[in-house]
Amino acid sequence: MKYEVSEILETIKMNALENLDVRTVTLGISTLDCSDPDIIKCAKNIREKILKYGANIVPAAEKIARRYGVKIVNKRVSLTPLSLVFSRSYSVDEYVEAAKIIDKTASDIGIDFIGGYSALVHKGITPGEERFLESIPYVLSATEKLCSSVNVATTKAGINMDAVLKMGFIVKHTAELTAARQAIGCAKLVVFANIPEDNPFMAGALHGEGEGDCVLNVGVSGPGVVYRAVKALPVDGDFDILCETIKKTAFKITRMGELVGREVARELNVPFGILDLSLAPTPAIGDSVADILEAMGLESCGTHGTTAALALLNDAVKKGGAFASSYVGGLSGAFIPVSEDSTMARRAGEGKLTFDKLEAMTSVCSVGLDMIAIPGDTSAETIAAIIADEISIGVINSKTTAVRLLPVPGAKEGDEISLGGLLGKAKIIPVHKDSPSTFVRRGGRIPAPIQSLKN
Amino acid sequence: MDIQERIEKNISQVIREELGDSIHPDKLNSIIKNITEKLTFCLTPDELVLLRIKMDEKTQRELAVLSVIGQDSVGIVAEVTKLLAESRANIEGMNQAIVSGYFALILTIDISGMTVSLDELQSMMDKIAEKKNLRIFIQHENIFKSMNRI
Repeated sequence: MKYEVSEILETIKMNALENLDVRTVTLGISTLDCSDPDIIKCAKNIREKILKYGANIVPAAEKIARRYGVKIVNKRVSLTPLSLVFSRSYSVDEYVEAAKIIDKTASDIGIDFIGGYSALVHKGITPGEERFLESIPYVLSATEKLCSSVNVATTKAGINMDAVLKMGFIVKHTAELTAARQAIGCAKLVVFANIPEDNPFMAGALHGEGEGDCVLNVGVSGPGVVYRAVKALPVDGDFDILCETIKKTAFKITRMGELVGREVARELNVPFGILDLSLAPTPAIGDSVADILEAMGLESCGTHGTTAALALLNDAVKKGGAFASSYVGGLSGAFIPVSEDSTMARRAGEGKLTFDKLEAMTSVCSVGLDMIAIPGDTSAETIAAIIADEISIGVINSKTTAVRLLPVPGAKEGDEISLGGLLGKAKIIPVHKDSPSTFVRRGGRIPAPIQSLKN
Repeated sequence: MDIQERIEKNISQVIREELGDSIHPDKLNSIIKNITEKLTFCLTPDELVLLRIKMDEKTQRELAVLSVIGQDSVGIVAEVTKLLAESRANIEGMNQAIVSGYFALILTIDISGMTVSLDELQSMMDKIAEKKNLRIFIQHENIFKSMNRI
């Protein structure tokens, strides 16, 4: 036999029992050539461009999934930030109308999400971008699949605190407009520092300006596989064994993801872009990042030691994955989206994983404060201050961080919300009550940190 | 077998089929030698290499791994291999084991000459799997190559 029986059985076990899957294949499409002063015409041009490249993404992904016996959970499209493509200011109704055309295109080709209702305002906001940002709550409440992201800071530019404050209000407004559906609009809105241009994961996926006309990026999953590998180790095994096991597992997961990504790209006749080697949890039992941390020996995710455990996990995943893939990109690190990770959501609900601990954890992994449900009476200024805290971790450490919060209207600490599907469910956790209002209302920019002066 | 030998073999086969015993064996050998030499010399070394690559491409195998896992029962191997034979999938390797009390049959099959697609084979195998309470997976070999080989 060309392959050992144990190798074959291990692969089958990973696929069939341990939730190993390709989380997403995301087709990045440049829409810079779709611009038109008439926004509806522009949206129609975008529709044509999506159909040109992406009409077959679902059958192509399914064909490859069957060929290798690997699930591809989501098929997605990311677009050039639309604030760059919509050439001037429009009314809210016009933005919504255009967004609906794009959203319908996503439904027509059968994809799960489409990203790119995005703006890059890390240094300043143009009048057009101002109107665009204000349209986000209306767009997210009127569409199903369209996702939005806003970059408010970079290590090079510093933090645009005007944008941060504005996003506090926009998050709040989005929650209010989708109050009937437990603020689901906020699950489609992320505020970023150092946003990557090739991220395949939602809600932050966009197709950067530096990208080509079309490219296929892939995001793998696999916490379940890592969990079982860690769980199988002796509890008194040292850190050497622990890190080696995670590295080897990450290597295999990544190789599988890269193979599937390249094959789907070939099927669609577009170039392969990057592989994002993030460990992305799902609400399915046994597919949790928190489970891995607890399997390392923590009584509960959130207790002292959690940050160290997450740091070693993230580092080992990167080391194993970097060797396995030719082009690593996107976010690439462990995700800690609270509602999407059943054990993490449970620990947060029990009060064992607090908001402050989550913030500390984001300094050693990718993304940031993700999918956290907070009380509906949290003020826009407090949300802005939370964003500022998280974004400064990214800016100072030259890494991507982001915030995706759900201030669920009418909900109080301890109430449970259920968002369905991959978004999962979570209990509302408390935030600090003292006001940061004077601080966040100072206006202007926090300058770029000294480490940005590298030239 | 090198290219010259293959040409020689094919020419002799055609002449024998066309003329049968009516031609004297010595005459036959001299005609074959003559044509083979002429054909070989009319090709440049580069063309010969290309020809070789083309021939290899044609004969290249494409492998998939078929795994049957579940409760042991009479006739599993017979049913699975019968279907493979009918689909013209050649078995290149076979391994059977009992893993944690479960029956595991793993076949490496050459799918390059199959008369049905991999999808069709999978759905036919699914029917056997359902009947015999098994799981049957067919996966292109590349996934094992990429995950287990550097």
